[in-house]
Amino acid sequence: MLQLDGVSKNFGGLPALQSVTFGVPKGRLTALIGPNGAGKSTLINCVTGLLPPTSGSVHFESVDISGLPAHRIAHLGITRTFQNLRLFPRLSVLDNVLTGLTCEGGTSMCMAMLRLPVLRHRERQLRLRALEAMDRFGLSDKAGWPAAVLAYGDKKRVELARATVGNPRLLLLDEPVAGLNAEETASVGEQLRTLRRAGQTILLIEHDMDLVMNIADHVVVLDSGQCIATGTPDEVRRNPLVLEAYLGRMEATA
Amino acid sequence: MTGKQHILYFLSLHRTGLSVTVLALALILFPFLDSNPYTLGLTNLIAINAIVVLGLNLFIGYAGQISLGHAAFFGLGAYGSAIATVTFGLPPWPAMFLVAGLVALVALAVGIPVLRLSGHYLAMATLGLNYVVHTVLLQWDEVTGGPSGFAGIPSLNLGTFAFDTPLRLHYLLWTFAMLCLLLSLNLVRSGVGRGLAALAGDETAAASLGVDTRTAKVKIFILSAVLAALAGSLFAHCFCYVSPDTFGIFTSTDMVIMVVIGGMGSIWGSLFGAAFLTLLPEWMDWFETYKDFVHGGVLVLVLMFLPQGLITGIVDAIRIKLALRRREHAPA
Amino acid sequence: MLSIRNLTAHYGAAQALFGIDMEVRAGETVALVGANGAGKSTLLKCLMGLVKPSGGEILLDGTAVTGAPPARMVQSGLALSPEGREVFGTLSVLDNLRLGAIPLKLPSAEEARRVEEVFGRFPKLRDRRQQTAGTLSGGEQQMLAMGRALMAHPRLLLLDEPSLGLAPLITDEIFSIIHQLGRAGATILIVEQNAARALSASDTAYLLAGGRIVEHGKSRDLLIDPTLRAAFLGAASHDNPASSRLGAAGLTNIRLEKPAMHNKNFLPTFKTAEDLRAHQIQGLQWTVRHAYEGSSAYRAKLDAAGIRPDSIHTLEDLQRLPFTTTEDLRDGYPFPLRSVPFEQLVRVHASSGTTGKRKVLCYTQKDLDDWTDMFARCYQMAGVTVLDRVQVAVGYGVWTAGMGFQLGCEKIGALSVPVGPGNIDMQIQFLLDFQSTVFCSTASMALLMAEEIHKRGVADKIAVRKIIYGSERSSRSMRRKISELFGGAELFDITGLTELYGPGAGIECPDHDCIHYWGDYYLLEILDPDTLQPLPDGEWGEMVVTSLCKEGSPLIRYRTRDITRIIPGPCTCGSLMPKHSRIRGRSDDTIKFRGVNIYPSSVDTILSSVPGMGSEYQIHLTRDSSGREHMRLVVERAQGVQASRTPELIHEAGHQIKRQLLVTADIEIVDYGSLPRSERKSQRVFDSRIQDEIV
Repeated sequence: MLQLDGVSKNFGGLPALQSVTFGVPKGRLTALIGPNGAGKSTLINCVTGLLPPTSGSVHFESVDISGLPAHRIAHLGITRTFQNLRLFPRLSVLDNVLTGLTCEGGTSMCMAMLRLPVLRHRERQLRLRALEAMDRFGLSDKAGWPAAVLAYGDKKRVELARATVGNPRLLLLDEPVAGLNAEETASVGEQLRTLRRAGQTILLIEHDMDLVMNIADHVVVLDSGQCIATGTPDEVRRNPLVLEAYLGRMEATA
Repeated sequence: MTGKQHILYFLSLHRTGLSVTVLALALILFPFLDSNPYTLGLTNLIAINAIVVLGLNLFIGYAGQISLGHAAFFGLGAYGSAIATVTFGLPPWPAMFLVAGLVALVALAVGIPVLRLSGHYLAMATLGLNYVVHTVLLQWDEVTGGPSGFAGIPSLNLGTFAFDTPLRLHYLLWTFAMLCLLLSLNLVRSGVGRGLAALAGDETAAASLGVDTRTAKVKIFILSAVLAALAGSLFAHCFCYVSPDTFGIFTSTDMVIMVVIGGMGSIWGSLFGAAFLTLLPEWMDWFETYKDFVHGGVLVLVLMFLPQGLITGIVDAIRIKLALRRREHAPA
Repeated sequence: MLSIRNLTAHYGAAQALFGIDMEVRAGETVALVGANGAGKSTLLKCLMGLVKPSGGEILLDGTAVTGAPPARMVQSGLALSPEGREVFGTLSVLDNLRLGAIPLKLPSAEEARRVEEVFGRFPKLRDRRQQTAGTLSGGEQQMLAMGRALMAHPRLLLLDEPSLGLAPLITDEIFSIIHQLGRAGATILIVEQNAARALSASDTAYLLAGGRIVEHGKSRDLLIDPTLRAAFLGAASHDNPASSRLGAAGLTNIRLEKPAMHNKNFLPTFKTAEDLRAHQIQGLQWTVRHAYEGSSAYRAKLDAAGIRPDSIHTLEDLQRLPFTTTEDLRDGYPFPLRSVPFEQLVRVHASSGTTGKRKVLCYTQKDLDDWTDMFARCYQMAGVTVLDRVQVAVGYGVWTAGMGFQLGCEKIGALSVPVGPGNIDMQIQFLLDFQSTVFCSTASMALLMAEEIHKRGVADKIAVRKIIYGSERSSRSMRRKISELFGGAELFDITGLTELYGPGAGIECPDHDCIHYWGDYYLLEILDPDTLQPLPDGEWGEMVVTSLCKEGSPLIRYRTRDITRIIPGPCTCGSLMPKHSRIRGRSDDTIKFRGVNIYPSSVDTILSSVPGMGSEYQIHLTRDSSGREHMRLVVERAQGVQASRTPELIHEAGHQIKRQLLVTADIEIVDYGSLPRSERKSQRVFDSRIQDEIV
């Protein structure tokens, strides 16, 4: 579904990504792993339009999206979560999740100001959908709270709800379990598994190897801006390049 | 569903319209309480300021930008209406809308380059715009009348009914103000409004969610400019005289102070802010002398202690306290 | 390079190889796969000259080498790494290697060079050059055996079961070395039980069973062939090749000797629409004649309509034929529409009688066989294979469902678990114990099961991948719920009515966008229920069916009162069988409310589209004292949705119903699970208005 070809990104002469090429198959969960500083977040930013790649191309369902601005990419059905959480702290939880439906909320200021019946009905439908998404992530009782007061785990869930409420074609998750305890991690893992079963295409950036090995269908390994391996979790786990780069000189555990 | 639930739902569904209706009723009845022309004159000024502040609040509070030059659009609206009706002899109503349209185009032309900037640079650019407009108003004698101002602006009228007394103007101006209030409230409660709030909250995240940040900023800039121009036209037809000093940089900062005091992002707060700052000189006689000190001081205090502005700051603090208390009592 | 033609081998009187044909080209890696006792080792031994073949010939580069002694074979360029390694345990690694080249009588410099080469390929052996071979680990011994074979610089390397007894990680290593050798240009013949491994490592493969080659072709193709995968690879997959062991997977020689069983096809083989039509015309002519001659009821009808059997020439003549309705079935009770003498009847089935007097249909043996074939087709289209376990949770006895599902299942070769209806505890128990992969029931029963599975939290422990349900309409949200709670199963709607054999007359397409019906067994017309005129393709109307080969009780233009529409055009799944939409409801299901015709299925669809709304609902129709009609919808909230959302749900549902059905309904929302569930068909419409319709 998503195909990266030779994507490179330089920050003023410093290569952050070097000719990265891999594909994300439809309906599968692909994990992007690599040591800190390998360029994973830069890669996601290039895919979602926050950073233009220096060279190479990104194709989404055969359409070239390299260099498109972030909002156009969102309208194509690609959503993401952020490693360091980018919620809107002053907005309520419900409003935060509703922002996930921006693409369907209309852009006409006149229509909005006049609040025509069409708009009212649409608002109501969006509200119900947002509430349903919040149900899925266990946030319904916190609907009216300002997002700033939530616990860290709940905030992560709000980001997830916001990213999934619009039924995106491709979901990009940037370290969704960073900073969560074991129980919360397991719960997020279960959510991801449910999404995966429903046929959602997911690209997951993670450090937590247990999570990755358990739920990923396909793994891509990045090191120092280069793609050093791709394959199934088992294949990658035994790949000596990966072991050396990511796990150090360790025996491969069976 | 029980009758009570029915009523509650109806109320919550139509809360905007209902609250505006209540306020409108109160304003309709107000002159019966106090028909002093001086008081009405003040409230008329509040109405005009409120219209500007509503627009500016959408720009500053909702979209998270800054403009220190909105008096420029206010002035363009006022002088535009004046020149159109007096010099060109156009009837006032069409002139008002024509001027609003022209100001929209100016805002578009200015907005596209200027809104690429942010923070201090944007503030400087808008300040610069205000300075330019002010200078033009001051220097272009033949058209604008120069430092002595422009007099003889006709009042607005409906047929033979002229809006030339404070009482009549009260109804006219507050009708406009209520309309703008309603439209702003609707905007804020819609998907577009949420997009703007997202824009103010975190521009990157908003873009990732599908908000076309550049277009949204320009659109809301134009909207706030049009509202300011509308208020300017009303101002011109209300006082029948305009002079350049009214549209200088200090007026712009006043407008920003009104936004900040009322609460950035709070629509109802805009009304409060407009009222507060308009009435402040009445309550403090010595105010006139130290006007600028007081204005500046208030602005600094508010920004230091309650960055979201007065109303919003208090409301937010209460909400957060309540929510935190609920969170402690709620099951894990 | 190597050619084997019609090779046979005997061990005394017992024949081990029955005419083997094989080709190994230079530079190729060929795999020979088969279970124990299939004859693989025998074949290798024949090649190496260790066993003398009893017939046929072996050609190496065109030269016949059949029956040559082993030493000659080594000199000709063959080398064997035997099954079980067979290293010389008391000798050192180095000595073992040297022995590999003995027949070639090499000068010592050359020998030393070759030893170095082998060490280069197997660095582990270098470290252990002086070690006694018997003390090496399994993997190292395998490497030694291969190294020994390589010493002879063979033109053809024979590897007999290289993965035998080795741990998966070591097997990986060995096979990667085999890969390397292959890439370096060596010609390799691998004999393996581990089919997936061998197929992954080779270019061409031969599958051996019972001394015969049963399949051969490109390894890549064989690896992905689904029937072969099912038979030979068991639980193995690309990611987990190690789990295929032909003995261990429980696949016995019986399967290997009857590979043709996997290729049984029940789907019709018409190549074009014209072929189908020709078949249909013949069937129509046969049916009319058969009914005319065999049933007095039909003869009376046809005579009354002025039709004679020989006046049927085209499919358009269908429209001249008279209709058959439930009245005819009731009038002819207990053997309505019988068109054969009693001695040919072997069974009767009856309907459940939910819409009036039971309809009884009689069947000849051919009817039963046809029906079983149709049902097997349905299973085949749903992707059910011989390895599936089908749990049948529908009513047996005089109802068609039970026998239909079970016999169809056995026909396709899957395992049937005939539990019957109800008894949720036992159903769940069997799902867990037998790990049933297919579940057959009504939609309501499936929902009951789904909720029970969820309640007990056993979704991870059951293996249901497909659910085939029928005899009841189901909404999208109900299907979603069932699929979700079963752990992500695929749902297939199966159609059919008691009058038309039973369920199995058609099944949902694997692409889930239409229902394919078996146009070679019956004709389907879509007619306007009031005017009885044919409707254009794509419009909703009443299904009228005409059987094409039904003997016991043939159907001529039988009005089913079910509403659906034809979906024209080719199907993405490739089937040529015609398509119709999922059944929208019965024409007598339609609710007439304030002058508007409403199908309950429309209500289903609308409620499914409101987020937060459950899938269970009831429609209550009442009339008040002033004669005005009222419709009240009682709908459940979805699971986990709080009561505070009720007003919004009511608002949205009311709005959608107003917009799409043009009626205003009172909507009441109740808690999840408070409406009754049933194992059979759920009654959803409660009409308490005075029925004053004529007709």
